[in-house]
Amino acid sequence: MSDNDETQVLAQLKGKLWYHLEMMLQDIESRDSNTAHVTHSKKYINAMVEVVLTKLQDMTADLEAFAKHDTGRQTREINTADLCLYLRNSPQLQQTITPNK
Amino acid sequence: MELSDFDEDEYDSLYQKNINKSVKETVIRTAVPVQRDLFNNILPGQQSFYEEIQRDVTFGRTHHDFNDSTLNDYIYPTNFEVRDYQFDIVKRALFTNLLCAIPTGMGKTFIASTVMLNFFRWTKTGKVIFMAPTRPLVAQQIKACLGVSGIPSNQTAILLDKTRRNREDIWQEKRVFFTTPQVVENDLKRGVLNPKDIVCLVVDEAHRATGSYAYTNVVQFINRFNTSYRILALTATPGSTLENVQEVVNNLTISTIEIRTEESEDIVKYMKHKEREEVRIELIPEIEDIIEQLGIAITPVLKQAVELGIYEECEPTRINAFVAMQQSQKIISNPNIPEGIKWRNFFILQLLNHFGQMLKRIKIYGIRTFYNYFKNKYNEFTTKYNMGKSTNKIAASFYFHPILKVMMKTCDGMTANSQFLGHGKLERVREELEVFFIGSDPTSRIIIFTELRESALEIVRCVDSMRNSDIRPHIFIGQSRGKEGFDEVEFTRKHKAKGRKKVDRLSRQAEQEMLETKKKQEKEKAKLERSARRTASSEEAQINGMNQKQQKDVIRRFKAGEFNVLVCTSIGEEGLDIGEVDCIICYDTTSSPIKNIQRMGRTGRKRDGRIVLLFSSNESFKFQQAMEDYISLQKMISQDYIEYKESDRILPKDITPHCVKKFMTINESDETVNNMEDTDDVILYATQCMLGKKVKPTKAKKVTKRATKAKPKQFFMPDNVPTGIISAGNLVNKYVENGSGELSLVKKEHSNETKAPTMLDKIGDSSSSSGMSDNDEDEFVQRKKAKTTIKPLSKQKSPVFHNVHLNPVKSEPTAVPNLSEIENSSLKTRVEVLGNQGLSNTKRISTDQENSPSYTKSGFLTPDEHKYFKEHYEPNSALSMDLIPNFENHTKISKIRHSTPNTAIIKLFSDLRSNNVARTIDMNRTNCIAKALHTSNQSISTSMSSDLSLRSHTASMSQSTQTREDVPDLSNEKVLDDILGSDSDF
Repeated sequence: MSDNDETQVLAQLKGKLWYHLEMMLQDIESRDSNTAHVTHSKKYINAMVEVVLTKLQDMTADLEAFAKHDTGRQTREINTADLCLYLRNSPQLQQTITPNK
Repeated sequence: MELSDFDEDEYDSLYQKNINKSVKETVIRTAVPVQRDLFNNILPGQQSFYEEIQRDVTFGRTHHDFNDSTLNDYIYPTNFEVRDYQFDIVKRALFTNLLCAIPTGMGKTFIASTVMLNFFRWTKTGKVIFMAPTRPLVAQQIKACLGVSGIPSNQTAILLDKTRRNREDIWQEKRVFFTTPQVVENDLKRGVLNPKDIVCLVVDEAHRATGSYAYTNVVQFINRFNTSYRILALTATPGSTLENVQEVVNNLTISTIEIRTEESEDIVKYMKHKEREEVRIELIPEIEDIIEQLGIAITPVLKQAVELGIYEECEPTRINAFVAMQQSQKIISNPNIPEGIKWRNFFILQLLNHFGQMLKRIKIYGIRTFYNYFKNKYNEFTTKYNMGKSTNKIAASFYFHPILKVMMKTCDGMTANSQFLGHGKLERVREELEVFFIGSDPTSRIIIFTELRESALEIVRCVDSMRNSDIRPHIFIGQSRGKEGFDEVEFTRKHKAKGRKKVDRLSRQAEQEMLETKKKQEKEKAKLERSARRTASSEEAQINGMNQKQQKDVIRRFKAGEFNVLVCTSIGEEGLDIGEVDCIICYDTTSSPIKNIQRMGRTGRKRDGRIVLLFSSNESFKFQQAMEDYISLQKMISQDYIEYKESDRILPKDITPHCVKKFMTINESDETVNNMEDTDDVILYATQCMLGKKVKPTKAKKVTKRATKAKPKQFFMPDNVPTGIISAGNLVNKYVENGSGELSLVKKEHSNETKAPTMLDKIGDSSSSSGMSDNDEDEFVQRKKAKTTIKPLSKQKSPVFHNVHLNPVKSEPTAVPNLSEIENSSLKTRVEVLGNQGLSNTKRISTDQENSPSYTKSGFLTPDEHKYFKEHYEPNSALSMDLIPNFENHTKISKIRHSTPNTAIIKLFSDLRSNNVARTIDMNRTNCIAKALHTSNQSISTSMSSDLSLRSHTASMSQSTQTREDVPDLSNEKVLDDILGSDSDF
C-alpha cells in the first residue's frame, strides 16, 4: 500500500469519527436541558477527534500485539479475547463486549 | 435568553474608545467539585466552575505625529554632571510609564525635564504637561526646565488659576505646560483641552495620586480618549504601605517603578552626606511630678472605665488618647447599647481622651504646651459645671481632685518664670543652635519641625529668649486660624438667666457693647505688647495663621538671611528647596515614614547636612518602627509585589533612539529665570515670556477676550461613537417569517463599512489557497457544488433569505453541504435559524473562527449570495470563549519528554492555539468528509469502497469501522443506537 493510500484512509477514518462524535454531541445537546445553550465549535470537535484517534491508534497497536503474541492461534486476527485482555482492568466494559456470558 | 449580559468592561471594549489599545481577554474555566446529594444531584446555588481571566494588552500605532528626523536619537543634557542613575531612569522613562522614587534632592526635576524635552522634540503637535500640587512647586519646575533643558520659552505656558481668561488660546498655541492638576482637570472637563493632544504627562509628588485627588481624575479622564501618552510620576516616597503604592500604580497606569533608596549603590556616591543623630531626652523631674499627680487624679476614673469594660487596664500614665477615641467611636456607633449607658461611657472615654492628650503634650512638648491645654479644658469644664450646664460627675471627680490644685499652683509658678523651659528638649534645642552657629557659615540655616503650632511658638520664644543676635527664629505655619480657647466670661454671660423685661434686655445689650469694646481694647493692648517683643510676628502668626502672602514673605526673608531658624509645622515638609539648610531638628516624630523622610529631605540638598532627632517617651520606638516598615516596603516594591499596568511604547517598534549627550545652550531670557528666587517673580516672568513679552493694552485684550468667548464649546468624544439621533426602530431586531413557518432573525447592516470582508475577497479567488491536493476530495466537492446551485434556487423566494431556506429542512440533504461550506470558509452567518429541527439541523452557528485558510471554491455561492455576504459579513463581531489548554504554560511540564500519544495531544493543542495552517486544512477536510457521510447517499459508495479497501489493508482497525459503515442512510433512532453501540469501543 502506498503512502497516498494511507493518508486517504486516515482522512476517511477521521471523517467518520468526526461524524459520529458530532452526532453524539448533538444528541447530548438536545437531551440535556442544562446544556441546551451550549454549542460545540468546529475546533472543539476537531480536537476531540484527534484525541480519540490517538487513543484508538494506541489501542489498536496493543490489540495487534496481543494477537501476534498468542502463538497458539490459527489465524492472526484480532478477536474478542484480545479485547477482553485489553479491558482486563475494567470489568464493566468487559461485560458489555461479552453479553452472552 | 438574555441578549445583553455584557458587563461594563465589555461595553467599554465594544465602544472601541481605547484608541490604540486593544485588550484580549481569555477566560479559562476550570471545573471545581460540587456538593451533591444522595441521588447524585447537584445541590443548587453552587458554581461548578472557577474562572480565570487573562488580559493581554497590545497597542497599535499611535495617533501622534512624529518629527521623523528626530526619532533616531534622544538628547541628554550635560549641563550638569551626568549621573548614572538619572541616565538609566531617563532611558526607561522614555519608553514606559514610570514611577520614579528617588530620595529627595537627587534631581527628579532633571529627569522630568529631560523626558519632557525629548517628547517635545519627537512629536510635532503633542502637548507636554507638567503637574505639581502647589504653586511653589510649579515655580521650581519652571525654573528647572527652562534653566536646564532648553525647551524654547515661547512654546511653554504656565497655567495657574489666575490666568483663566484666555486659556483656550494658550492650550491651542503652546506645547509645554506647567500647571496644577486642578487646572488640567477643570479644563479637560470644560472641553478646553483636547485629551488626545497629550503626549507626555509628568506628575510631581505622585504619592498624592490616591482616592479622588485631581491627579487620579486627570489620568482617568485622559485614558478614556487616549491611551498613547507617556506618564512619568515623581516622588520621594511612593506610599507608606504596599496597598498605597499599588493604588498609585493603578491610578496612574504605571508599568515600572524605579526605586532608589539612600543606600542604593548608584545613588550613594552622589548623596550629600547626612549625619543623623538620635537624642534621647529623659523627662525632667518637674514633668515626672506632674505626671504622677495627674495619674493620682485620674485613677478612679480609669478604674471605673476598666470595670465597665470600655478601656483596657493599664498604668494611669499610659493612657492613650487615640485608643480612647477609637473606643468612644465604637460605643457611639453601636445601636444596641441603651442611651443612658452609652452616653455615660462616652463621657468617661472622652475624659480619658483628653487625659491622653495632656500626657502626650507634657511628655513630648513640655509643660507650657500641656498647661495651656489643661487650663483651657479645666476652665471650660469648671465654668459649665458651676453654672449647672454640665452634670458630669465623673469628670468633676477628676477636675476637682484636690491634688490638681497643688499641681496647678506649681505650674502657675513655673510658667510665670519666662526663663523656665518646659521640657528637656528645649534645653537641647538651645544647645544645638548655640553649637551650630558658633563659627559656622553665615549663610547656614536651620529648620525645626514640630506638629503642634503651640509648641512651635514655644520653641520660637525659647530660642529667642537666648538673646543671641546670631540666632533669629521665625514660625512657619499654615493659613487656618488658630483655635480660640474657651472664653469663660462670654460663656457665663450667654447662659445666665435672662430677664424678660425690656429693661433687662437693654441692660444686657449695653453690657455686651461694653464687653466688646473692652475686649477690643484688650486685644489692641496685647497686640501692642506683642509687637514690642522680638517674636512679635511669630506670635501674631500663631494666633491668626499665615496666608500665602505671609508664607512667601517669610520664606523670602529666610532665604535672605533675615531669619536663620525656621520653626515649621507639617506645611514645611514638602517641596521646600532651600539649599543652605544645613541642619534639621525634629522636635517630635510622626509615625508616618513619608513625613519623616520628607522632613529629613529638607537638608543635604546642596551640601552635607545634619539631622537631629529629639526623642522622649516612646518616640524613639515609634520612629524606628516607621522607618523599618518603610525599608521593608521598599524591598517589597523592588521584589515585584506590585501588579503593573501595560503601557504604550508610543514610538514605532522598529525605532530605537540612541542617546546624544549635548550641552544645551540656554538663551538669555531663560537664564534670567534661572537666577530668580521668588516664586511669584518666576511665574510672572515666565508668563510674560510666554505671551511673547507683548503686553497688550487692556482694550485690545478685551476685544480678544470677547472673540474667544464666542467660540463654541467643544465636546470631546471617544472615537467611533455614533452621534446624532437613532430611531428606536433601528435598535431592535427584526424577525421575518419564512416559508416553512419559522422565524428568522434579520440582522441590520452596520454602518461600519471599514470592516471590509477580508475573507470574502478570498471567495473570489481561485482554489489556489485551499491547499488541497487530494483528487478524491476535489471531485467530491465538485459534485456538491453542482447540487447546491440547482436545488436551493428552485425553492427560494427572495435572494436575501437564501440561506434561511437552505438551513433548516432535514429532508433536503443537499442543503447541508452548502452550509458546511459556509462554515468552512469561516464566515459568520448573519442569518440565524431559531427553529430546532432535530439532529440534521445546523444549530452550530460558527462562532469563533479566525481567518483560517478557506476551503471555498469560487463557484459555491451564487452572485446573490456573494453580494449578500459581502454586505453583511463582519469578521470581528463574534464573542468566543477560549478553552484550548496550554500545556506549555507550565514550564515544569513542558521540559519533560512525553510518550508518543501524549506528544501528539500536546502538539494538537499548540497547533490549535497558533492556528496552524496544516491543522486547519486537515480539520476542514475531515469536517467535510463527515458532512458527506451524513448527507449524500450517492457518495456513500465511494466512501464505502475506500472503507472496504481500508479494511483489507488494516484488518485490525476494522472492528471500529465495521459497526459504522452503514450509518449514513439510517434514521435518527438507528443513529442513536449506533452511537450507543459504538460506546463500547472507547
